[in-house]
Amino acid sequence: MTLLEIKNLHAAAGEKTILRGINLVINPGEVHAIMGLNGSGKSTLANVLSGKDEYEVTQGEVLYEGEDLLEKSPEERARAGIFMAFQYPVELPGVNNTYFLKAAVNAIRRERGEQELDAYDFMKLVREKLKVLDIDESLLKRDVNTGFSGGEKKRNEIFQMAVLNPRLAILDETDSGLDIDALKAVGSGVTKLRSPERAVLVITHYQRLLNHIEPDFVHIQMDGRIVRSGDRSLALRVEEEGYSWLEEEVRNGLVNA
Amino acid sequence: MSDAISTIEEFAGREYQYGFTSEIEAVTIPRGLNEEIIRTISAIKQEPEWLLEWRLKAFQHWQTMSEPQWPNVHYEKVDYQDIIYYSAPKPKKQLSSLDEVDPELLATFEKLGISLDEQKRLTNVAVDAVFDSVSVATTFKDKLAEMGIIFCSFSEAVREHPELVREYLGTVVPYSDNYFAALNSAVFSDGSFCYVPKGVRCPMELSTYFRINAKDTGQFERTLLIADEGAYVSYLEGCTAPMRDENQLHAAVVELVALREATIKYSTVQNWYPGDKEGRGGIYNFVTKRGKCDGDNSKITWTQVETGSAITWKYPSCILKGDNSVGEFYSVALTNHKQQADTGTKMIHIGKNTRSTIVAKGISAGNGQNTYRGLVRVNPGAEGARNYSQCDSLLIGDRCGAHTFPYIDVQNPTAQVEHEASTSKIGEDQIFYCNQRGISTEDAVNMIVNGFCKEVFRELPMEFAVEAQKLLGVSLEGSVG
Amino acid sequence: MSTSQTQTELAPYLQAWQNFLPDRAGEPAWLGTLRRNAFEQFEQQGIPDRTQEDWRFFPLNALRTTAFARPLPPALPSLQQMLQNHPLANQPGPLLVFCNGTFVPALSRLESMAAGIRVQNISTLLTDSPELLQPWLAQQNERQAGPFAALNTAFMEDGAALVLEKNCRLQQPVTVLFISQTLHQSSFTTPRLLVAAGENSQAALVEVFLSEGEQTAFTCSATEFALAAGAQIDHVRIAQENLQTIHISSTRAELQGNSRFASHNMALGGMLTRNDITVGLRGSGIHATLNGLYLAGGNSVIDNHTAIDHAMPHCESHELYRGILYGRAQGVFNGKIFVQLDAQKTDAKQTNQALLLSKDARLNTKPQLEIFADDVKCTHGATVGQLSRESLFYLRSRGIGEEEARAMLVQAFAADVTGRIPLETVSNYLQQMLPLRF
Repeated sequence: MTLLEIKNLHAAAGEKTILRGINLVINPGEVHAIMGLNGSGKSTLANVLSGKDEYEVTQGEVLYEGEDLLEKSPEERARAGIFMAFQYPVELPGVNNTYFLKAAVNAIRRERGEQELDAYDFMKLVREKLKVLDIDESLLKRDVNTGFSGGEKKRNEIFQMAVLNPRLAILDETDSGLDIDALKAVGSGVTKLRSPERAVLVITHYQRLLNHIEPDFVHIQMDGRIVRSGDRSLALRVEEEGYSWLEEEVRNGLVNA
Repeated sequence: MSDAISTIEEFAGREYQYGFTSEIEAVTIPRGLNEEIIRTISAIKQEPEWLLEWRLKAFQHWQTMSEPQWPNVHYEKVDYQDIIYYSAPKPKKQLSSLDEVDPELLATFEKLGISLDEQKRLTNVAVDAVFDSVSVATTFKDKLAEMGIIFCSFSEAVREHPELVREYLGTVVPYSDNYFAALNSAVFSDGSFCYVPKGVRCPMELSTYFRINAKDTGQFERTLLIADEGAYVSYLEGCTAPMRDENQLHAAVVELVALREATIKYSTVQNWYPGDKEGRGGIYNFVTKRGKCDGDNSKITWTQVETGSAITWKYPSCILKGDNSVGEFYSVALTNHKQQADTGTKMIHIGKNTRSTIVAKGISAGNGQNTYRGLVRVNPGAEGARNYSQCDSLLIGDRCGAHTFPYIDVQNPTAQVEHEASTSKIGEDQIFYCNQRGISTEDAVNMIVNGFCKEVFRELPMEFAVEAQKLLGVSLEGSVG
Repeated sequence: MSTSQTQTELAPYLQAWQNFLPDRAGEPAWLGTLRRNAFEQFEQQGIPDRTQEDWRFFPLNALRTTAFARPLPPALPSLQQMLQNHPLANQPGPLLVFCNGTFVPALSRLESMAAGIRVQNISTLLTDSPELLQPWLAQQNERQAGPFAALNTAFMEDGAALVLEKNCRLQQPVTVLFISQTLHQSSFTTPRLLVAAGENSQAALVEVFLSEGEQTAFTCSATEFALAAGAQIDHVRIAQENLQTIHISSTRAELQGNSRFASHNMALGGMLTRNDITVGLRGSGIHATLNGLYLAGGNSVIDNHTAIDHAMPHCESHELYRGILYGRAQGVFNGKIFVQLDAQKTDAKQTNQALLLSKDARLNTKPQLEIFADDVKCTHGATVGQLSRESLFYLRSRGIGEEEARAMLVQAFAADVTGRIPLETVSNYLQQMLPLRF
């Protein structure tokens, strides 16, 4: 069954229209990458999918597991299995990482009618994920993202993703501001979390993250629309030649249907 | 306006839980205040002559004073002649054990979650329960007595240990200290007394639970706590009152004395009735609390969580007289609806190498006004004194206010004093981040508020910390839909 | 204040007022009204006492007990000698010299200015073109400014005015020297500075207070700024009078949208110094900077009160005050920041740091925030301490003597404030004025 289906999605921030008809289908197990220049609306798409209320959907629809996604609140979407790794994860001073995650895990479990995890089982789960991702346990004692370096914040996002076990993970510019080691760590983390049940949507400006998370599909977004879809080679061509050849083709009306 | 913000905006208290009244027969004296009333109170309590004289001196002094105008709070003038200064549950007969206490009274405390039945209590907390003006029951007295610890009502201490009371009463807060302390000294009715002898570490939390019940009464209790050389005691105080449309006055005095190497931890969770959403009713909480680190290496820690009262005016303070003595103040003050709080601390450094820490967290919601007022004074002789103060404000909604008035007075060059203050709000992006992890807005706000207060909560004894967290949730609740 | 108090305390001022008024007969009527209202204000408010929160730490008894005379006319030769090599009197740009309340044209330099820029002494302007002054002079709320701003207005004789029309920019700073010549008798002066900056205009002013002679003096100064939208003004204020001087000043600035105002308040002398600086942010996008350095030794008292009123959204204010106290000096810092209900997105930062270098020096500081808007960033910090032992040790381990090492560290501490003055001559001058021993 299709996990996510975006049909002719239009969205605006205030007066400004940003998304102008996005169409995209994502199935379980697939990794999709959306690439594009700054201002092409990539992050807007991620925010609209996760329910940020700064954006107004003016046209189109989004089905998640066959249901209307757009009428759900952000927490309902999260509980239904959508996880967003933020471009700028916020700091929550005084809120302990472990406590925060436990609240999130149990909110999601409650929604699914599952038994809440007690402290013991929760810590077991958390330690297991730390080990898989090769992250130091000291992370558990810290406050959510507070005083973290850019790389630490991004790794914490991937760690949360591992613990919350989403059906659809959206990575919003997760590579921005990372040095090569942090990039590798994040990339390998995401790769480890690939599974036949889980789909991943990677939003990025550069190809370099895709060296570490190999996508099944690559889409190029321009001016609020997906103008070209292909496989990994599309990303490599963009890396080599930039976006101008595509802009040229778009001007000449060569947009994929 | 976004949903997240509107839910925070609605973040304004659900009904006060402890607003019930109890039908208990009481002995009260006529309204008003004069020498005769003071003599009557003293006579009811069968006090020695010296105490009556002390009360009368305090009363005479009080008459020369005027109510302080400087706090950043606004209220209708109190008519001191329209208050009943003494009200006590009528004893059915002479009490010899807890079993003989009015069952209605026991039920009242049960309802408040304070069981006076020793069997049902947490084994590590001893309670002195003060109902209106008098102490009604003290638990675990015998067990404590075995260690030489005296823990009883103030009246009982006057009867049984007059020499101790006489030695320390008014030594930390003299009757002339301020308007409300003078009033209290004149009319105080009861309270708690505790003495921990040399070298004894009190094995359980001592706690006083205050309840105002009767209408039109003021509550003027007095607590005196002495930790002798090398002693340790942790003391908890909790308060509630029924919902009434009139304002009720609570003017208590707490005196702590820590001798050489002694440690006192004094924790308060204050949940007096705050008044309704329009600001009708509620307690005027005008309290003087002060501790004296009298001996070298002594330590006093004040921890307070203030969520109740219409108006709070209190500055638990430390006089750091002994060399190397330590004073600490950890405070969370929450004002919602029309509540006003002007609270903070004074750290007076007198001894050498004295250290103090102040962590004050103010949360303002609704139309609440929250003022931090503090004084750090380093006297000329306080070589090597250190102070660190941090006061942070969290504003929820745009009709509340946060005010910070820290006074710093340094008269010794070797002192190091640092003060930091900040103001913040709960960010929409923080709420959204939590939402995106499946956490509801209400839980997110609670989580962030509790995170904001964490440094204070971790100073509270375990049982209280949980209660305080819940209380904060309750006081802010209602808000998140 | 009761009538009897008024009569005894204010008698000398009343006497001076009665002598002063007839001399002002030729002035425009509007000014007479201002003066009379101001004196009334002063009489009503009286000389504050320590029961008033804002004056708790400032001893004003000297103002009650000393009868300050109106000063003698300036003695030019010695004055000329004094200024000959003074770095601030010789920096480029217009110079206005006032001595004992009187303008001294002989020592001033009023170069011809571009159209739209008027730099002049106030009394000349009052004769020439009073219409230039009328909209601005004493138009800000005198009552709130307290009794001493009112006292200045009542007795104001002369001072400097800078009126800039729209888009006019001054390339060089305007230097204004107010000198108390107290060679033979005490003096009471009321120096005034007025700056009205039109839209997008720009200027820097250096206001300096000096003394010649060792007699007592009471300098009661008032400075007013009105910045229209987009205007940019830097104000350096240097008080360096003798150790018998009582210096009380009120500086008020009203700022409109997108303007930039920076105050650099340098208090380096005097017996009793009190500076009140009040800044009102009346539009959006304003940046206000309040920096200060105070240095006091002996038995001096230096008291700085600043107030920043954020009334509108999206403004920033930054405040840094540093104090150096030695001998038996007493320092007071009170910094108020108000953030009104409408002032969302305010970013206000205030820091006060003080060094106590002797066992009898004392500091009272009270950084004060009053916040009524929720979406704001406000912080304040205060530290009091002595020179870092580690730094001292480090310098000494490199062979630098203790005294010199202390002076170096104090210089460095001060340089963080003086270095923020965008006029190099002035910041260098200030660093040179710091004592070498503490």
